[in-house]
Amino acid sequence: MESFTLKGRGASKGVAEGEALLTHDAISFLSDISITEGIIISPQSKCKGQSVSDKILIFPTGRGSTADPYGFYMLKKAGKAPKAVINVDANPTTVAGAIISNTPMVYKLDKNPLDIIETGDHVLVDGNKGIVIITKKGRANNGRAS
Amino acid sequence: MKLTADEERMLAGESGPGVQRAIELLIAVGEAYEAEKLIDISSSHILSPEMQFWNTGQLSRWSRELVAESVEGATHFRVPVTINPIFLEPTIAERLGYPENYIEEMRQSLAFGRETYARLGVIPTYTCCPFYIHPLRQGEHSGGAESLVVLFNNSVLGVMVNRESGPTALATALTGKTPLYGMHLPENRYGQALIELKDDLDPGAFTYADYNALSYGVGKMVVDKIPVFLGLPQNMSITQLKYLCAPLGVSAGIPMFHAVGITPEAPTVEAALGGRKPEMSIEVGRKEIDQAFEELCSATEPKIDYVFLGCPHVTIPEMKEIATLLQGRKIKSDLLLVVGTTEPLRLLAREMGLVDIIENSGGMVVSGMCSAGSFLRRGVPEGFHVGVVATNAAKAAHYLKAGGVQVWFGTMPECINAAVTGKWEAA
Repeated sequence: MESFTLKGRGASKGVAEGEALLTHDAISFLSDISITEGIIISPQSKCKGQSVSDKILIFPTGRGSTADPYGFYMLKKAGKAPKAVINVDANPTTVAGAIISNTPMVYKLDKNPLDIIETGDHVLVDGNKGIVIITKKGRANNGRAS
Repeated sequence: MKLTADEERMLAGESGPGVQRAIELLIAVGEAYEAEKLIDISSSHILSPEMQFWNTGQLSRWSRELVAESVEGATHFRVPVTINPIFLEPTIAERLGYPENYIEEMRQSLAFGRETYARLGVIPTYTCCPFYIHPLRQGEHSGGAESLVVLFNNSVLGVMVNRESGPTALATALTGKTPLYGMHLPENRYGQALIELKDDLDPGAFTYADYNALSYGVGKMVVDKIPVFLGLPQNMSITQLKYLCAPLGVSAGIPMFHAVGITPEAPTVEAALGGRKPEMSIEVGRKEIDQAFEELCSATEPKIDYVFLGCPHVTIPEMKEIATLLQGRKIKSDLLLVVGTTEPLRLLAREMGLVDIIENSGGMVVSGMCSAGSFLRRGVPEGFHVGVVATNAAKAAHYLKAGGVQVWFGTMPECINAAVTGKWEAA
């Protein structure tokens, strides 16, 4: 069973696992995502139109300022938030958003998650320990089949 | 992060779940900035999601839930705390004909906020200019949000404060702490971009709109570098300075600038730069100012529906200028002229007879309202729009334009003329 672990820093506590959605864009939860629907709406994003709901959302860092954490919270209340967030570097507005919405978040991993994780991989995020466990897509099924 | 005994007790929940969550939030944010510890602050400035961004509907109810969770078990703010304005005053919503049930919801959301923060001991400033009421001194560490407050405190008063997010700002008020990073460390406060004014500009003759345009244009050029302005008049007034501060908050992500000879930490350009070479040098002339004026206008139609002055909230001298321009004139009957300020200044201006002059001409003086945020798309009921707006505030024009509102940006006399004639003359 091929799964491997990255170690980093937990920004927001809790454990969650699910399917990865990876974007190379910096994300503002207030202006890049529809906060009532959980759909990526920024016109320049390659992931425009995709849903972040119940995904493990991986992106380089956050953008936005004063009101951005509220956007994350609204998304959670609407039932459309990601299950967990992984960042390369943490923008404090994303940290604040993850904490007030009780969503696990991990960053500063020992390898760049953007190089290692692909959309569709199965990912477990442990915000208490600051670790990420990745099972590459396809291989999980192969493992079970053999 | 190293914590004091007091901080450990908060983290253990001894002051209730709200304070516990607040200190957890500050520690996590501090760690993201590599802060080694939390520091004591002398004050904070908060904003309220349920009174600003979402004052009706489901999003308002969720905002209220968030605030209730955040302050759960808390009995008082640990430091003097001022608060930002609300987005739209219900009396204005009535004048605009918003549906009754919509206004009733607004009132409920506002009442929730007023009661919640009053219980915790807020100084009910409801202004983006708390320095009119509760000014701070050079070297004080403060917490909080609102880019104008942060820019003014760092750049004009020499206060040390970061641009924090809304939830973090509330956490600083509940704990009296903030992480030690950014503007709290002297080495991060030096200027990075040199701003020189070309000979075709006469800053001594700048209108408020010119200061707005200068600030807005420079913000777009420096993006995230701390600018150092050279050649600004040494006798700049507080009114002029707030107009130099506010637009930088929306056109750039910076918490501070230096104006040589004005900023306490910038007696000389060398001091402002900390003896280092600037990372960029920019010359600003008439062309750049004119370009900012153009960028801030999105309107095509000359007919004006709404004029407002007071972003940031007007000072008493401004109130006097507005009254002088309006004396003996009547504004167009189907048009709203709104002058925004904070309640103590409104009371003083009333006593001075200035509010009467503005009201007799058909205008309104409103306290505690943020004109920049009043007509963001999410705060306007379905099927309503404010029409064409005229203002002398770049920050408000920026937000209105982004919200799809038709806006004219110009000088205060141009705005007053538009209110009287109902037309934008330069259109």
